[in-house]
Amino acid sequence: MLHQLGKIFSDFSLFFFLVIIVVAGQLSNPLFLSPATIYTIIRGTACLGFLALGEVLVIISRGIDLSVGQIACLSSVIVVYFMIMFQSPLIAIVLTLLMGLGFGVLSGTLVNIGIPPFLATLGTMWIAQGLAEYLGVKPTPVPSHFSSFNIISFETPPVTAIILILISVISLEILATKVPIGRYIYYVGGNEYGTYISGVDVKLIKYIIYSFSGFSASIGGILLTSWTTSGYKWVALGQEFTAIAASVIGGASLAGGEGRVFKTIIAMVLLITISSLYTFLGLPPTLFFLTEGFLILGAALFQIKFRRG
Amino acid sequence: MIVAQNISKSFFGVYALKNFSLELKDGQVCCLLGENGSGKSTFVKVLSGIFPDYKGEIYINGKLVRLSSPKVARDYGIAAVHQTLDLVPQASIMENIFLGSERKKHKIFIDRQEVKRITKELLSYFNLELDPEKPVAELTTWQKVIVAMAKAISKGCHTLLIDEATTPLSIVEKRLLLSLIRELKEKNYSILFVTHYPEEVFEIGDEVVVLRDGEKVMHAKVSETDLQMIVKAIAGKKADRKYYRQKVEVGKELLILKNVSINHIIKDINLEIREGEIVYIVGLPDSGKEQLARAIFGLIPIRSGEMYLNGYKYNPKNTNDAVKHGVGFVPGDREAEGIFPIRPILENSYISRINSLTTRNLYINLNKNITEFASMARIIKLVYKSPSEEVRFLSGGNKQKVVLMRSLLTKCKLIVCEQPTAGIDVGSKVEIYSIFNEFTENGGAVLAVTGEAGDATSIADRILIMKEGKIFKEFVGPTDPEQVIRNLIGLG
Repeated sequence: MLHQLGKIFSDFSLFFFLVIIVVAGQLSNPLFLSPATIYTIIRGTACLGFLALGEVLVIISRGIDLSVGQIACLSSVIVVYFMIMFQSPLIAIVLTLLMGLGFGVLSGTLVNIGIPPFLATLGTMWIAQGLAEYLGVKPTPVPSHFSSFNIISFETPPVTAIILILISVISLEILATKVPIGRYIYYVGGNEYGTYISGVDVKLIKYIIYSFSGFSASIGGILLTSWTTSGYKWVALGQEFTAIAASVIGGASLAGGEGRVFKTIIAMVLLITISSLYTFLGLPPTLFFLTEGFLILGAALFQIKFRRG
Repeated sequence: MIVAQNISKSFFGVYALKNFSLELKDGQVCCLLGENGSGKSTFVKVLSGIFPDYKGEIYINGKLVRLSSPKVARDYGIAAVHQTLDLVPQASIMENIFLGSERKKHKIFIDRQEVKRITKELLSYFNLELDPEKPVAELTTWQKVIVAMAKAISKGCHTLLIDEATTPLSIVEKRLLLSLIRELKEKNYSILFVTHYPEEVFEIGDEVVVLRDGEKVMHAKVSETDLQMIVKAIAGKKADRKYYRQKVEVGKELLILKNVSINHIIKDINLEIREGEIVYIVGLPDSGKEQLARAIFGLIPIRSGEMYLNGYKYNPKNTNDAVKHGVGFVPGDREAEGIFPIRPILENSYISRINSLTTRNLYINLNKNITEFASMARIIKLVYKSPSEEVRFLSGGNKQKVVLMRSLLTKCKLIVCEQPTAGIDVGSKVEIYSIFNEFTENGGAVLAVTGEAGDATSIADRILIMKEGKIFKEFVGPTDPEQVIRNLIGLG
């Protein structure tokens, strides 16, 4: 009985929390749920969501990717850098995405050599950070003649942001639940050796997971640039932990084999809503960290309590 | 048809399988028997592509192949049925069955309806009414075995390697599994059936092969052999048997177990070990012998009953408590649980009382007890270059001595030992026996648990046979291993 209640609760707990936060926000200040706030939450979710999308897949496979935040930072710096160099946003975006993919391939290679994911991605994280700090000493605004690049920032309502994140979440959710390659991520996390002796190319799966994570993080970086209208080396500083937090609050287990893409995004919405609420109410940022800490510990305790089997 | 020729595989310099040859014919069941550590599982793993570094040749339908990965083995139609090894606990039955060979629709998506339908069919073929979407973690052992079988068959494999699948099953389930295998045989599957129980050979087998210490000691048609011959082959030649136990004065009671229960299977265990005794508990996998040993060392809690040590009530809260009470432990999986591979030998042997290595109770000084270490190493005939050598470079036998030394150096009274001689060479085995002799001469006692009858009959004062959580037979003094094996497999 308790078990079933727990399961139902765990499936809907995030919506439940989200509703509580929104209602509480609305009660404390009726101006909270304005279009402006909602658009901010959407934009934030779209940008940071792409960091979490890669992260959650890595975590399901029983790994961790610490590099997503710094890959996003580096992407922000070089997308503007290339835009100025080649005078073409398209070329800049393509090159930036390739860079993100390259970092992901590097992480995947290191992990497949046998370096623990924590260390491998700590290494790639610092390499990305080093390059970002070197190339982007000062924030560089997106050139005014390419102002259409800043679509995330100026578009109201933010249709592009919504479309991008929705399509990505839906297609990844389908991939992870209905397509063999997506299911393999769960199997690798649940029993890597068993998956291997079932005849699956486990290394290939890991390559794909980490490459995607790097690629997805660079999309996040580009979107953040479009939102903040400048290339900035600290635009996603520390956001790898937000991505990890969203994955875990969304039900992913660091022990592998569990987690859902769509729940991760809902958890991201939750985190960003709380953050906007605190900003809106003029509460100090420290309070947000406290809340985040309790949320992630609560989610972890919850997993231990109601883990099935 | 599969022909394996001169297959060898070694671990850390010790052969697990040596020049082993075997043929698997279509529509036949070949039974592979032997004691724990005789190389049965190693051969299964070679055939399923898990040990790609084997020596020797494997021909499939006359063609020389290299089984370099599980995928390659599967592509050649070979599938192993491990009990739970290759199942993903969080995934559903149908996902597990189709793991690695997903059915797709529109060439992209997993065809859930189709997969569910086939899984239902497979399960009902095996007389199992289960929801295909149920996670494997929620299944019973029998159901997991069936899922593993269904998985092998669904992949279109014609050669099934069934590795000790009957051991954890109940009698009824065993019957079911054997009749299933008969059906598969009639459908022209080729089956390698690995088991501990020779009587199963006569129910399903066409040929029987017995392994001993990695070498083939018997190969016969089932129709031309009998139980007696198989048991003899498993136990080994009479000439090779020796009783190494020296006469030791037995003292007062050291450990007493009164009605100890650990779970619903292992219950009401009564046991008494005296100073100077070597007692072996022999049982097949899943007999509960390891849990019993681990409970005595405080690794798992006991549910009810009482233990006494030296006449005082003994209920170890944890392993540290057990060591403080003078109990030592030698785990069965030496590589995973016994040694710290990249730490020095000396440090490895002092882990149970690392405080004795410290200067002013603070800094570890690896030179502090070097004399004590050297004299102990001399007594146990440890072969090593220097105390600071990393343990991973030692042979299996010397690693085992280091693990034993860890207990000896705590000056413990009782050593609880799992598989004391598993995976070590014959010379080291004899040396381990002399360590036991010497240890008990000084008033200590050894409680060993093992699956190898030959190990117990070489050194034990008393042999207890354990089965399904109960001790049901005791042998005192020199014992014929054949007798022990007969009791183990229920022919006693």
